Amino acid sequence: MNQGLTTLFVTELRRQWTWISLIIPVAFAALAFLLLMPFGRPVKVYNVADHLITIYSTLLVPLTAVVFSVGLVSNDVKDGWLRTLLVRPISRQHYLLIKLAAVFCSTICVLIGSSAIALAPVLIKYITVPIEFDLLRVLAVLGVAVCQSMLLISILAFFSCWLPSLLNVVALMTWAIASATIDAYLRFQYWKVKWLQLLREYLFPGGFNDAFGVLASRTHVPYTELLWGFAALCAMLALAFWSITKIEIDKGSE
Amino acid sequence: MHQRSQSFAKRAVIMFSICLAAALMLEYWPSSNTLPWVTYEAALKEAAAQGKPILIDVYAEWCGPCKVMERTVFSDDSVRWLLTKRYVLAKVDGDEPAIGDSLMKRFHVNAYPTYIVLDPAGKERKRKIGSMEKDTFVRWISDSAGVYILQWVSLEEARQKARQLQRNILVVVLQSTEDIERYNAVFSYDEVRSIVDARYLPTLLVKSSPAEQDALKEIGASMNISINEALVISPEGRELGRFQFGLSELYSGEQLAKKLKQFEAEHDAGTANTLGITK
Repeated sequence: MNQGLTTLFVTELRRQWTWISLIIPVAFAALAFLLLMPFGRPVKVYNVADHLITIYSTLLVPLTAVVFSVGLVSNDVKDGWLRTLLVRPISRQHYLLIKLAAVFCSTICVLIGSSAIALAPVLIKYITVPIEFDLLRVLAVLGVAVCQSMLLISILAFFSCWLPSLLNVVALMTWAIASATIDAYLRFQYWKVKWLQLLREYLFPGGFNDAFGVLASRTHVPYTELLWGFAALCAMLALAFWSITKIEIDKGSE
Repeated sequence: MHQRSQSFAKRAVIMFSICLAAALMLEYWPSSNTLPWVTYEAALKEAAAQGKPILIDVYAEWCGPCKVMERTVFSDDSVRWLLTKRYVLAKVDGDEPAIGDSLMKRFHVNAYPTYIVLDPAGKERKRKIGSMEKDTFVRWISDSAGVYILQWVSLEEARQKARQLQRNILVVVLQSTEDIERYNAVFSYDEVRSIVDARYLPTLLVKSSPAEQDALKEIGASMNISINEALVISPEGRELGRFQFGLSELYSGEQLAKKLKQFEAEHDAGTANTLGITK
C-alpha cells in the first residue's frame, strides 16, 4: 500500500513537471526580481525578510498555487485518470492526499527556487547598502508563505471537486474580489452595525496574510493570526476530503 | 483502508475545531495593556495642567482593527514610551451611550478606530482613521509636538495681529486633518518658511471640521475653495488673491517658494497698476 502511494506520488510529480513547466520558476523569478529591486526607493539597509514578504504575499504564493492547481481534481476526472487509479487499491481520499502532497512539494520548490534565483543577482550585483539577513525571520516568512499556498491549494482543490477545468481558479478569484468589495462596503456603509463588522473578519480566510503583516511590523510572534490561518486550512481540507467522496466520477464533473 | 481514508475529513474537522477555539480565545482574551488611558474629561484637565497634547483613541469592543492596533502597535515598548512621554492618553468607547455618543458627534467620528490629537486646550489638531503599521503610527505621533504649521495662530488671532502689524493673512485650507503631515513637509521648507514668516500671518483651516466651516464662510471661501489652494487676505479682510500649489509627494518646498514669489510679484505689479505706478 505504502509503495503504491509512493509510486502515485512520484507519478503525480512527473505529471506536473514537464519540460514546459520548468519555465515557471524562471518566469516567476523574473517577475520577483522586478519587485526585489529597490527602484526609486532609497533604503539605508536592504532587509531580505521584508523583501521576501513583499514578493511572497503579492506575487509568488498566489501565482504558484494557482498554476499548479488549475483543474486539480476535475481534470483528472475528465481525462479518466482518477477512474484508472480507483480500480487499484487506492481510496479517493488517499488519491486527494497524494495529489495535494505533490502540489505542495512542487509549490515549495517553486517558492524557494524563484525567490533564490531572483534574490541572488539583486544581492550580489545591485545592492550597495548593507544587507540585513535574519535567518530566523527569513525562515518564518518562508513558513508562512508555504502555509498560505497550502491554504490556497486546499480551496482550489475543494472548488475543483465541483467545478470543471479552470473554473476553480475563477471561483477563488471571484470569492477574493467579492469579499474585498463587500468588506469595503460594510466598512463604510454599516460601520456602526456590530454583527456586520464582525462578519467582515470572516469573509475570506486571511490569517496567514495577516501573519505576513505582523512579521513585517516585527512587533510580536503572530500566534493568533497563524491559528486563524490553520483553522481556515483545516476547514478547507475537510471540505475537500468530504467533496472527493461525493463527486460523480463516471460522469465527471463536466 | 476505506475507514482510515474516511477519517481524513474528520481529522481535519477536529483540527479545525481546536485551531478555531484557540484562535478565538487568543483573539478575545482581555489584553494586558497597561498604557495610562484616562477618560476624555480627565485628559482635558491633565493636558491643561501639563501642557501636553491629548491622544484620543475612539474604539469599540467589537472592532477588529482596534484589537489589531492593541496587539501590533500599542504593545510595542517604543510606542508605549513615546505615548506616555509625549501625550495625555484618552480612550473613548464609541458605543458607550452616555459619553461615547456625544463625543462621537462632537468629533464627527465615523469609523473605528479613530485617533485624534488635540492640543492642550482641547482643539483638534489632526486625526488618523483605521489600523496602521507601527512605523506609520510612530511617525504620525512623533510629529504632533513641534509641527511647524500647527504653531500657526487661529484665524481670529491672525486678523487681530494683521490689523496691528499691517500684514496680509495667508489662509491655508486643508481638506482634513489627515493632510497635516503632507502640508507640513512642504511649508517647513526653509525658503517657504522664511517668506511666510516674514510677509504673512499664516493660519490653517480644516474644510471638514464643522467648527471651522463658519470661519471659512466668513472669509467667503467655503463654497469655492479647492484643495491645495491658499488665500491671501488683507488686514481689512478683503481677499487679495489665491494661488494653487501641488501636494503630491513629488511637489517640493522649492516649487512652493517659487509660486509664493511669483504670487508676490504679480500682486505687487497689480497693486502698482491700480495706483497708476509703472515699475
